[in-house]
Amino acid sequence: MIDLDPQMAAALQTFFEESRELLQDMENALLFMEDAGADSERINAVFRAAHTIKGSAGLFGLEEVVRFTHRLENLLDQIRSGITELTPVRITLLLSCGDHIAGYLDRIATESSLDQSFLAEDLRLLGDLAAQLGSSPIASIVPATAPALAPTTLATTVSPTEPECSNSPDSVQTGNWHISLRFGLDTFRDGMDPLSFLRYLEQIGEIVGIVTLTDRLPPLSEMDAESCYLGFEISFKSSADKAKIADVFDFVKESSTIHILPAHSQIGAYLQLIQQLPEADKHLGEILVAVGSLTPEELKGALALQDSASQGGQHQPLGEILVAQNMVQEPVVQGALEKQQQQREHQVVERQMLRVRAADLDQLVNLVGELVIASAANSLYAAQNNAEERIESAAQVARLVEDIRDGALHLRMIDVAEVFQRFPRVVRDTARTLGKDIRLEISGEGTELDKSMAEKITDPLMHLVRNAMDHGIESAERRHALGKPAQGCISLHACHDASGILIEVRDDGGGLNREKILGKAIEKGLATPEQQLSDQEIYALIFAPGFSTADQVSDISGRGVGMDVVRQNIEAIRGSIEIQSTPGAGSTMRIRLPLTLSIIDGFLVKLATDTFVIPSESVEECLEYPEQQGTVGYMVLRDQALPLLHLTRVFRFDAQPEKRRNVIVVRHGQDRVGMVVGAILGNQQTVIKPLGKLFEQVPGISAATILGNGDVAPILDIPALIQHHTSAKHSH
Amino acid sequence: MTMDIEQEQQGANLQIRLSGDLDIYAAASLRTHLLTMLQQHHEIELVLNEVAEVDGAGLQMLLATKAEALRLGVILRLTGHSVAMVRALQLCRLTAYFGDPVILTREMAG
Repeated sequence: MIDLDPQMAAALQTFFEESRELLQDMENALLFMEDAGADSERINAVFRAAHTIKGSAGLFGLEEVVRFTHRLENLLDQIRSGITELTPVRITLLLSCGDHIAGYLDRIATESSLDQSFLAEDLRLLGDLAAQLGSSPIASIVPATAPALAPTTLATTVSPTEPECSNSPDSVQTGNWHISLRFGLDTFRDGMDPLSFLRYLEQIGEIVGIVTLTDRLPPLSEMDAESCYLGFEISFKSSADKAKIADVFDFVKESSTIHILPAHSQIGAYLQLIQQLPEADKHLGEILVAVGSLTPEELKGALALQDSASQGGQHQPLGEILVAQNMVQEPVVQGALEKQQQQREHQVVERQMLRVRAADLDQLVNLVGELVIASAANSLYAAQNNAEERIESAAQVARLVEDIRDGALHLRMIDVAEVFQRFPRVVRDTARTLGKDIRLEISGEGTELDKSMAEKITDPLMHLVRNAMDHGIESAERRHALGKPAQGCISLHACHDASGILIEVRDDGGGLNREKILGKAIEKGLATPEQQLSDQEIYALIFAPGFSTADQVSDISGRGVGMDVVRQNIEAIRGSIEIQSTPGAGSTMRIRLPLTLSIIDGFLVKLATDTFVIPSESVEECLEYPEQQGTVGYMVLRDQALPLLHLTRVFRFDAQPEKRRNVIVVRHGQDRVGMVVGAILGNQQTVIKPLGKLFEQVPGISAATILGNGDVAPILDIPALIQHHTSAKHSH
Repeated sequence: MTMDIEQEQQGANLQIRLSGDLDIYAAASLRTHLLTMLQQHHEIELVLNEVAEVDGAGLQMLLATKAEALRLGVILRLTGHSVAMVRALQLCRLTAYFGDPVILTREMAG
């Protein structure tokens, strides 16, 4: 069913991606109308989405998708023309149909079979669609127009054997097509081979007759061997439709002249072809006879017709003559024009975007990473030689590399809206399951984040949202009793933060129950009654493995395997999560994510003879270490105590304290700590290299990087160091 | 595979042996060579049994050579067609145009 030709395979991939986008658009429009009521613009959008998917699926011969989408389209068509109303029940049905089409696509993409339950769903939906079509309450009320329209649309759904697209004049055809090809001069230079198109044609049908045209071929002494002068007239027997045949020449349609005439076309169509093509009319006519598309009598008739038209001195466009003589039906011409217009609009959109394989981008980013290292080495050697010109040019290279890095990383960025767009549906469905009335507010679209990070954050977010809906938002009765609006609210928000990206999941529910959490934690042995814990620390307990406070285990959440996985997933992408909660007013889960996963701006410091990297994003300021102050554990900074962390002690350096020490003030979340280090070497772009298995467990170090001079420098894990420091403080 | 051109004079007949891919990459150099040969000889035989692949540019070059030969009155024969050569000629139904006998092997027929 699916052609394995690589060109087709690539096109099929594009079809899958585009269809998923269309389904997403469809879902968005339906959800919007569920809240705000039906509007014709969105109904049209939904119809267009279904229609486009059906059309494209037809091109690839995905009959099941065409069949299903066709039924969906019938209902949409009725809704669009106002015969049927868009009720909530129908919205739910349409949403399910969208899911079902996505299911088809997934199964086709993974080449898995359509299992029993899927087919059962298929039948159920088709039944529902038919029922919605048949029992249209409006149809019986509206007298004048509906009876005329309803029976015909009804008939299409009743008869299961009705051929698809039979209304379209150029699709269902038998016999021989006529294809006329004049390849553009640059065809070879564009990397195309006319012969491969012919071979491809042979795969979707039979070339009954072909004449190779050499009329344009200049003498050998004058020709450009790399220009293409070839043309073909082909008589082609195939059951494929026009779009599929036209698709064969998709890659050359811009530069070449291609005419495709359906079988048994009116003689006028051939006449038109003869006039449009550059070769002499008579010669061309003979070729058409030679190919087998025209009989000699037909050719004679066509040429006679042409003569009489030109002798009459009329300068009527040929199309008009043909229409006037009933040779081409007007709707056919009109339909073809509309189709061309649509295709043209589609192409314009396509040209603004490029689809790039994610793996290619990854490789590019990797290379840019290597380039950053090489550029750092370059700057270092230039500085060592103290050659001014070299330093200058190295600085320029470094600046350009930085721009390239930013550009390359930007290519991988996607709008956070793409992550959020799945949530309206999730919230809607979850709210129904829970029997709660909850709306979703989304803000901060336009915030960009790394694509790989976007993929990894979706599941944790999904869990947090479901959790907030299940545990956070109270039942309607309780909300009423508390004097809150009956409708609960979940909000998703994203923005850029100094240290990366901030994503918040907020609910206006009851807030976290401090006592309940603490009680449960003590019961599970996660905390002891004697511990003095801050609210923050108690809230953080819900991320401990095996923790769940839900009294009832529901379908949505409450199995206690979730929040710890959420935290792990977030930490795996170097992010962190914290909770703010106000009893009675709701809670906020705040996720911080780094901007990118592969390159960071590093702040280089020396400890004894070794170089360490502190991520610049967490550095607040640098000061000289006050040697005279006497105390070791803290210092006073602008009248506030700043806890100090002596890195030489953390990493157990035996070396003597250096003469001049510095304090780097770092921040993570709410916590600030001063790191006591030796010399400060300054900022440098740092490519993150993951640590091997052996070093994964070293506390305080998250990764390593390679410096310009080839030395390895560990990257400090600031959140872990701060956390370690604060928890060590508590246990004292 | 790049194209190699070998040739050998056999009495009046110049035998030009093409081996490798008869394609866009070979087209320019082949054009220059064949043009020179057509102007200097009266009887040319293109031996094609080592032709591995043929594309539109290669086929077009043969068409142009044939046309030039007809114009100059040079006798041009295509002989020993390889499988790829036969397939390309059959695809475009050009065997009759060149008019040279083609020996079909079992493989080609299938």
